[in-house]
Amino acid sequence: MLRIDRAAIEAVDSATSAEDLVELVQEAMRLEFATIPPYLTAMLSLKPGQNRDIWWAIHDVVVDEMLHLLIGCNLLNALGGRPVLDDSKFVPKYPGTLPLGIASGLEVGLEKFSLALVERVFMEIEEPEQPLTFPGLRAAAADLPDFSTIGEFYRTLSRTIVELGDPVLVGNPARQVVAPRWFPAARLFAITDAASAARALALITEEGEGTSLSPVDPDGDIAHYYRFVAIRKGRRLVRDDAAPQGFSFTGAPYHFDEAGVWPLTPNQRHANLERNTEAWRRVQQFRVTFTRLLKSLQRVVDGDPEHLDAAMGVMFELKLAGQVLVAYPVVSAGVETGPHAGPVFEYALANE
Amino acid sequence: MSYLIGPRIVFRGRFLGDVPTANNVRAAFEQYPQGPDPGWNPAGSGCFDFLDCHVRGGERSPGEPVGERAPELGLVVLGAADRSSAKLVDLDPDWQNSSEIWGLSVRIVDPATAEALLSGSFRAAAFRDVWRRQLRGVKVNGMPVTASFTSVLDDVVFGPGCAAYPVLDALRQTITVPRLSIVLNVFGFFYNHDEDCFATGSLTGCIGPWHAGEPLTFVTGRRLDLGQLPGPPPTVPLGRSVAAVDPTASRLVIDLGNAYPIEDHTGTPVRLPPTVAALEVGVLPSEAVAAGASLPADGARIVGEVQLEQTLRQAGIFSFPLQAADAAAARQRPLALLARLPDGRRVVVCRETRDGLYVRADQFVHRLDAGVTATTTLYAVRRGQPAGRLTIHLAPGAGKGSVLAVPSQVQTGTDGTATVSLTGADPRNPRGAVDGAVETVTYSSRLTRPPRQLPDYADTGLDPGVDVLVAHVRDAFSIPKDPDWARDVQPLLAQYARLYPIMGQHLVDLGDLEAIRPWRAAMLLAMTRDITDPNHMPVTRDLSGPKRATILRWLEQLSAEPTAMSRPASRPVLPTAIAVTPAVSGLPHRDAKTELADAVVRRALRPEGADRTATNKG
Repeated sequence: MLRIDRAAIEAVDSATSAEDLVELVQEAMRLEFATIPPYLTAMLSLKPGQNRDIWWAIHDVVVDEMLHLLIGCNLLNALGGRPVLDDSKFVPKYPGTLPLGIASGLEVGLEKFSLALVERVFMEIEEPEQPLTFPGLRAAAADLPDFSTIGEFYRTLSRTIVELGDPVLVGNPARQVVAPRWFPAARLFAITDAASAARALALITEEGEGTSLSPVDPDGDIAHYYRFVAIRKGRRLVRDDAAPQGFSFTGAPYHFDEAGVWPLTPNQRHANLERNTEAWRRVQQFRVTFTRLLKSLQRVVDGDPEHLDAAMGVMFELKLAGQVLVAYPVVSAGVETGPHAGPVFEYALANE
Repeated sequence: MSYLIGPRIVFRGRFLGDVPTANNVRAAFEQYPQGPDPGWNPAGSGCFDFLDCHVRGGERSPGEPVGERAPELGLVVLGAADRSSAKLVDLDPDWQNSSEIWGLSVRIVDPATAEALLSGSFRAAAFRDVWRRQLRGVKVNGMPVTASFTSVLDDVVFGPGCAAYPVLDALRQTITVPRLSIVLNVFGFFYNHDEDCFATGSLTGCIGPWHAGEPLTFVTGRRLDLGQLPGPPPTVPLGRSVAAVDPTASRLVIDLGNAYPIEDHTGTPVRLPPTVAALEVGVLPSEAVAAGASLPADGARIVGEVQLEQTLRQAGIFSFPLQAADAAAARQRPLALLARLPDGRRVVVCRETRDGLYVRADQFVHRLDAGVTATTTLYAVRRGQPAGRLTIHLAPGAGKGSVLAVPSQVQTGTDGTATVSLTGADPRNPRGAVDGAVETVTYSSRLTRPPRQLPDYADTGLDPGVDVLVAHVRDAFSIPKDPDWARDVQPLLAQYARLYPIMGQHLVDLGDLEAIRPWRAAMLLAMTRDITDPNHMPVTRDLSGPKRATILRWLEQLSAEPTAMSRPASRPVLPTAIAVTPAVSGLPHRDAKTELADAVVRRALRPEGADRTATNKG
């Protein structure tokens, strides 16, 4: 599981004001966003028309992570802070540890989809402190951790805000993002008091990890961790009255065809592509579109929530740009070298 | 007279023109998954964007060019900051003669600070003055066609930092409304997969003031027609251009940005043939002097010499001081581009239109639902001044059977403008799978001789195949009260899936109900965007209002997308029949635009007296 630096949790626990929390919430937002590039890279690596079920499963998680980012921004704005997304430092370097993570923790990179990647990285990112076990799922590690989890971080944050009370939420309500066109009001709502803050934080945790008693979040959707387990096992998690916990991995299969994956360059660096190749330009196009996404989201959380429509348009364009670029083989000295170009999530202002 | 008069900033670079080409042929509208010829870029996204565009020069005030150390040099010209890319779109498979840029934001940015010093919204505009300007090296890039997009930037905002940039600051102080004029000259486009150049081209551009009363999509001024340099074959043509005398009559500015012929895709100006010592701008001795005429050394008033090697740095715009006597002559007589021969004689290469009359339609591309009326404004100038009380004749290209109702003539007011209404009747589906009909209207202030008596394009500076009013008139369509997927919606969306296959390949097959369901919100967004929005759907912008309303009504009734828990086990997308990187290279690609560009040159250089009223058929 994702090992969170205990110092971060202690800092949240000892906070006495909104100012004490702002930086930590910004880091939590970075963490939520930082999961998107690895998920998106794996999703984009799936060839058109192939492995669609897995494509959709990952896509749904990416959309949830976007929601969690917006929730984090709402919380930060409610605390009187300003979310900072439009910044080259907002996106972490890959491979590397995720924001708030301990230095020796899980190393996350940008790789093509594989079942091993799902198990080694995606399940680890989303794994709850104590995963539930269901028929068909191997037993989880028995050892209790001596580090903190993201769930614990959010629970501590929630408790602290509740203890500090409504006065700590001094932000301008006009900066709250509510977008029923994209996210139902039960999932994305204005954070105006401690109760709504606690509700929002619980939602983030439960959508990732599930609850302590169920793999299903309060919306009735499977928590991310169990979705990834299902992909790894090749069977969807479904309600099963015959199973002791009411669920089992006996649903429709997830077919995985290894030939339906582009051989992406892991952790693609733009500088490693030859300048005068189509792959280079396609990656640059992706980078510029990615930068536009950050800028559009910044505008959304800076008091222009209506701009979320435009941001969604950029997100759509980013997906298309990504799907196109991964079809381009890397070329060196005019010769294809084998692997394909991978998406690069780096800031780029100017298209070239 | 827009960017020709006043402070201006010029830039150069490349552009992305990732147009989808499956809809270039009618067959694609009815065959699944694609027509017999998917074109050179079936997987195109439609995106238009600036690539590596930098400020290269300009003028702070007339005759005061930007210096080599001016702070403006090196500023970057960028597209959108926080929204999707602009889109490059044809009107219809039967009218690819006026591609338009939609939803383009233009920003001039300091790369060091990322501050937008100037930003504005490019009003959708179609290219004009398309012609074959690239004379050699076409094998490298594949497309010899060039054209200009002239428009305005609306909602112009200057950043606080612009005070440090004299030209930008001068522009800021010049304008009284938040609007500027802009031109983008595009050339050297790559059909070929060569290095990183596929679906990109070269570009020069200029931004300057816009003055109240000016058209929005071209520059009124002194129009010079297409001509050719003297010398043995092969012919070296010079394209159409526009010039202006500034209000103080102290300078003559001519825009050759889309007129000077080029050697290659990078825009290298052609070297003048040995028979030509120099290219000059001057005033002809009389209206009677025709293009191609030879004049003695003192036969024309020479205003200045055009140094073609400077064209790229200046976006092809040349500014010359004007002596009072020359200015007086220019008020009465035609301007011309002249070839100075080694013995001092001059040959008229391009001359101003007959009687200095320049009549042109502003917004000339229309999308008309049956029963709807659109208007366009015709501008008429004579030697650069408004030509009032001028009769302009109009004629539908389809003759009496036209579904376009237009007046047969209009008269300009004292400001030299006249408004024309175009009303589309129901075309009654003459093209089967392709909605509606495309119709044109020709116009001119003169008529050809009887018995035809059609608008006469001879010596008008316009091309009868391109410089027309054009409308895609859509079939009448009743919006069903309760739209049915199979009966009403699927036929519309499945066609779009064929015409824009990149989406079907990668995200959603619009011909499949279950595939659409999860995209309901995204589709509702895209289909309710204004046509000027870069996210407008369909990207091709060819869906009639009632058909759009039908899809929207159906989408609104569609049940919400399933959650991951209930998502069906499989979700088809279109088969991968279309290669992302088709192997197109090596040979010039013949297409509608290339054939059009050749036709434009052919028509302009055909012998005197030949019929110049025919509409373009390639």
